[in-house]
Amino acid sequence: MSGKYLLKRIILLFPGLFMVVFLAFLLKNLVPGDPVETIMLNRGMSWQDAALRTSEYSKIYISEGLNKPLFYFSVLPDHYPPNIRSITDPEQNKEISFLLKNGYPYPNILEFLNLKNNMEKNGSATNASYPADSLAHLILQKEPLPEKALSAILAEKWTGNSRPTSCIQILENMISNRKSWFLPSFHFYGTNNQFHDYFKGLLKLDFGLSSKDGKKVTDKIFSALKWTSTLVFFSMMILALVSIPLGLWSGRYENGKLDIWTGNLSIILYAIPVFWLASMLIIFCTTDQYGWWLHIFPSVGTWYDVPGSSFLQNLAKHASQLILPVLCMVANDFAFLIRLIKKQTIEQKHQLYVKMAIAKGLDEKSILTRHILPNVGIQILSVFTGSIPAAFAGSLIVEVIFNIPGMGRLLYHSINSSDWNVVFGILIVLAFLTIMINIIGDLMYVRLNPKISYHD
Amino acid sequence: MIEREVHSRNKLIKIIVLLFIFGVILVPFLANDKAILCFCPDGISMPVFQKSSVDRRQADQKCSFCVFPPIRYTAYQIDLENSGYTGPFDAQKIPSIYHRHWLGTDKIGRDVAAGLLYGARNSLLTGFLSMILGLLLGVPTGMILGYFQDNTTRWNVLQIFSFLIFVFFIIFYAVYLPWGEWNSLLLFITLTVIYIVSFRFLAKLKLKKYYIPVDLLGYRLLEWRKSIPALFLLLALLSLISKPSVLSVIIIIGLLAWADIARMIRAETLSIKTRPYVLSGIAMGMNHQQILKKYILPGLSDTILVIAVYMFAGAILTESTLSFLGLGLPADEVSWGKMLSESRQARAWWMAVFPGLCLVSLLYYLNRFTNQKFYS
Repeated sequence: MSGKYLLKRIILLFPGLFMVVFLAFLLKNLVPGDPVETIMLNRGMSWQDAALRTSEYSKIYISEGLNKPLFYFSVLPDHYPPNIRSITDPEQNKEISFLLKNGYPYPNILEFLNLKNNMEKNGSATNASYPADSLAHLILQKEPLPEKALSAILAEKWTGNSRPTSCIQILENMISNRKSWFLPSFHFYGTNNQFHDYFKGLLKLDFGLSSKDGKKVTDKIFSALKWTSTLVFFSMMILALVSIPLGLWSGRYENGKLDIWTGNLSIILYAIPVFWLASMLIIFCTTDQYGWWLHIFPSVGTWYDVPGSSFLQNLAKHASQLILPVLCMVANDFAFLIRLIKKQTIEQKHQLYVKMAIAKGLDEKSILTRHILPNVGIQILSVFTGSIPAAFAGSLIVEVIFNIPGMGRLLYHSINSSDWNVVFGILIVLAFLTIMINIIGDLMYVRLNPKISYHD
Repeated sequence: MIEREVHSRNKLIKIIVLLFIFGVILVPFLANDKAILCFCPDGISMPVFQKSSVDRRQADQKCSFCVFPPIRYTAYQIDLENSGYTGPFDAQKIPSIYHRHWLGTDKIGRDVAAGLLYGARNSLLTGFLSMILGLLLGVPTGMILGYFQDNTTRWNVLQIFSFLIFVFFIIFYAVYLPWGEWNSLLLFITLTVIYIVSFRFLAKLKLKKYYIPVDLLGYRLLEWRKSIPALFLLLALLSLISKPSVLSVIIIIGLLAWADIARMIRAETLSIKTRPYVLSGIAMGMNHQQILKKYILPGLSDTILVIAVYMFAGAILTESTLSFLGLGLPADEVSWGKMLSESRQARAWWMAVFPGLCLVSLLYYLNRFTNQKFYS
């Protein structure tokens, strides 16, 4: 029973993961900005010489695999070339894309660009300077120019040999071949494409290189994941240790003093955004500025790992600085969890087995802990496991504020420096964690609760 | 019981309308460097509505009597005399007691109290508009998923085929046609009309029909979206936009809220669908459109209201979180979140306490309403 259910869940996992990877890949290619430019900027490369720069650009372009097509197949309008990404020169690529978008067929564009280049080269030498820019301007206009006007302009400005006729011929061809109606055509590329490489890398846990410093993204993510999971672990522990006794107690003594106090406090805590709580605590409770008695927590310091020391040693060194972040992370969740446990406790209190336990003469403490708690626990387990992914997400703000080198801070800094391999790597890792935790939660629920069975 | 619910609903609507009047309309009358009303030798004037910034001191001297707003600064106005984090209790270089910065200033000398009011306007507007966008997209989606499920819609092969072709062409032209031209819009309309006409025609053909698993496909999509934490996805989506504006923030928050709204509406539709009055409608031979409009939608109205308030609070929180992280509203807009993030760098307590209190009290009241509804 359980095995079949497990198998079904695992099989259903793959389309979900594939979709996440696909989404991440799509977003990675949609972000504005030139990835090669970002790499050059982040690595501090700059050239005075334009030719050298172009050659270096195309080197990085090819080494990053950007010259390959995006996906296994593509649907393009029929006047497009099969793979426009194989043009490494960014200026030329931009120009061609623009002309293609305006409906000019690819062969004509190549002719036109060739003509333009020749003109630019010969312009100064033959003194027959037809400004290439204004020629391009003519072409880029949306309405086809009247033939007469075009030839008049060309005849006027161009002096010398027989070029004008061929020039006019090329321009006229281009204008008359302009498409006003795009029809789709299919192109198949096989496995030599960017998505295939990306996916293959993911299977080997390789997310590529960070464009910021050239380090492996995988190493970066996993060293950050350690800190984030530490935070999440401690916050979950505190959440369980505080909310279960409080919830049980306020359920047992409904409308008692403790119940009312925790109820009110948790509603207020629920409305406080994490970032405000964190800023207030940092401003008031980490300095002597507002009185020595308010200096309760250590100030938010810089984090550095001593080379050669293990993760646990680092953790021990920074442990005091983790107190505030963990407090801030759990503050919001108390309200919901305490309320849920209280509700469940009240529900369980009136069940027959409790009356039976009372009739047996058990004392109150053992009824609460040995009879009611397991039943409440099963009910809140799914909520608890559901809040773990939320805690991973919620750690972002806390990490940014408290400067903890975790995944959230990594994501934040990577977005600011356009390091997309890291950003979307984190997105995929988080989605994987979320899905896995949900599956584990469901399985535990099935395992612990004999009443529930998933037959199919 | 019902009376109380209606009462609380009316109260809620009233409060939202009041918040809106306060936030969007009244703000310029509460914090402004121009006078509201001036009795001058050349008649009564209302400088608030004048766009040109005349030197107010001169105008004051000319006019016999002027009514000023309680806060004499706009949120965008820079007071160079009191720049560099002047606290509420610090000595301020001001011409009169009326010009005092009651809640202090920020680094470049903008008034915090005025910032709170203008920030409230931005927060409310972002929250409200993104909520509306989320509801407009999420409610129909949730209703369709919950109502049609997997065993209601039946299409024949040609219908499925034509649907796929239609979707293919729409995506193809959306990607490759230059946007913002009238002929591409015309193309989309023609395509849609052709599709609808041909679809109606194909439905009449006597071919074998198959069930369309609407719910299965749609719900899977919603679940996949849920597997990526919202805040992370939000940040990734925001980075797609090279120049963030208020509108782009609204659209992205609304789009992300869409999936959550659809999930909740779907669950509620599933329970409403089994109620006797809906069954009676089906028995009477009403078509799907009528049932959805006349039975399901009115039944959902309470849930929609609760979801709306919940999403409103959520959108305000998200917007201020984004602004706090420096990724939300553009740099020249005021926002509570932005003031809070500035307070952290400068350790200026007045810039942390007051915007935070505003945010917490707004969220607290909105949460209380949803809590009452959820737990009653």
